[in-house]
Amino acid sequence: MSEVRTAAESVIDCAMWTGAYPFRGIPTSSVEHLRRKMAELRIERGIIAPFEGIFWENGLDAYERCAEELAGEAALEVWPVLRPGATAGLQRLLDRYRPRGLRLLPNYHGYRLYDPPAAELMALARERGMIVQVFQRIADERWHWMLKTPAVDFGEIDYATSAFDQPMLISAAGGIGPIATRLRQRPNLFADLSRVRGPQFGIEALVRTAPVGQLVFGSLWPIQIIEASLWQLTTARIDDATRSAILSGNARRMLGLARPAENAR
Amino acid sequence: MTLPPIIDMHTHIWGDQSGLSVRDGDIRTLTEMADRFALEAVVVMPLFGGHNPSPAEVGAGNEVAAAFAKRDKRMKPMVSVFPRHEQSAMEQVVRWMGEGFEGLKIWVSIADEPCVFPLIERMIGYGKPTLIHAMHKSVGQLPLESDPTHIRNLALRYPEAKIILPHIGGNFYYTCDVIADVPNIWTDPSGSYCETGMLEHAVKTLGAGRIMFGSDAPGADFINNLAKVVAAELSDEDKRDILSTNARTLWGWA
Repeated sequence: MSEVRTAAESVIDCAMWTGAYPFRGIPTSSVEHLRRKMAELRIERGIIAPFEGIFWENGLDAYERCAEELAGEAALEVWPVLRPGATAGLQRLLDRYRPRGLRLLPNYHGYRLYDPPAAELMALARERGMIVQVFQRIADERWHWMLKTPAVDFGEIDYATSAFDQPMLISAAGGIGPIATRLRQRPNLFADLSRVRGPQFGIEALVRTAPVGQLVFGSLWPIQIIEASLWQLTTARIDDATRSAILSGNARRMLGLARPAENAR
Repeated sequence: MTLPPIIDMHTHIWGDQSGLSVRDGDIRTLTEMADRFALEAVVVMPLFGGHNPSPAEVGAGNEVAAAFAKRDKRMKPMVSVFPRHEQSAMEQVVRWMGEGFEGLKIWVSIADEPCVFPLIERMIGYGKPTLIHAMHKSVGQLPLESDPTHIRNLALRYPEAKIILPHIGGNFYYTCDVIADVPNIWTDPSGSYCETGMLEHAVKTLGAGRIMFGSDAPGADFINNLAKVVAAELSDEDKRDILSTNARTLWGWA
């Protein structure tokens, strides 16, 4: 028998989704399921977007519905998925809901991060003081016969993190290694750990080599199991201050949130 | 959380760049993993020489696995072979099964090719399982990589054989459909794909008795894979069967 630590004091999950994923029926992807899961795993805040924001032609309508439904629910922060050429009405939505960030999935929307339209989205984010979250891959493209959407090429990530200077959050497809150098160069660049699933004891190696102040927790729920990402961190033999920073402290700083005790006052 | 007794039935030791020596750290990592999580047994499969190994690389991997298992009795080695080596593949099976290896591992190969048949016939005699890599992909299928249908064909040809199709074939919906009515195929969810609902669907389709826990360490993370079972909406009895009982029964370690 062996004891492992699975409980966390406080967690901010920066890579969640909700709604109907079109390539696989996930029975537990509703906001109601998410609330229960967050309570069970002590996730104090989740950054989410509806899948429909990726896949609908009118993706901003999906954002508006979700943001409206969750308006006033501080634990669930809804960010819009943006794509070039589909920004009609965007300013009104940003004025109304004031999201702290936006999400880009260039591979799903047929553009490259070094294309001029991407620069326009980056400029919008800079003007609004928003964090730009880039998902390199949200699902394995090898399983569904219509999802032949490869990961965003790392060269694009490298370009975007060098050419644009506003706060960015990268959900990297292949772990943190490829962007570790850029993280060291840019204090306002963050990476989530949602796709870190190896090697064995990989989290322990990661905190020895990467700038731990820029790593945040992400699960890619509901495509992935939250516990699979979470327990890698809770069971890792790393010091508690580092664990706490990755699970919530770094995200709190990235988002400009007060510490929980200050929130309570 | 207190971990129950666990058998990790899917781990590897990888060859290094030379193809003839073990990758630095693999043995140390598996040993530490077994210590840290108090594992009852760890099934170890050498993978030397990539997808197209030479006979010398295959032999070197099996030698390293044998030495590892001799030092640490928790480690249960499987003979790795490349079936198209034909005679030398059979020689590897005979040699290492004779020295107490616990089964056969076939990596990237078409499972229902005739060159596989004599190996399976030999394994039936030993009463030990054969694990054959297979995945169903819409893009990126490797040359010679089995689809679950190839495993199905092999298992139907040899109903006495004990066949393991790992990773639930990548696409778990497809794979469960393909193997549901073939009772001599077992599966494991090892690897880096921690998709929600995978275990629940596999248990619903196959029954918990044909599923075993594997991590695919050291390339993949043990805890990440353990969460697929422990966090699944399954009964405690099903989880216990998946985490150890089924492997103990299949390998005859009861």
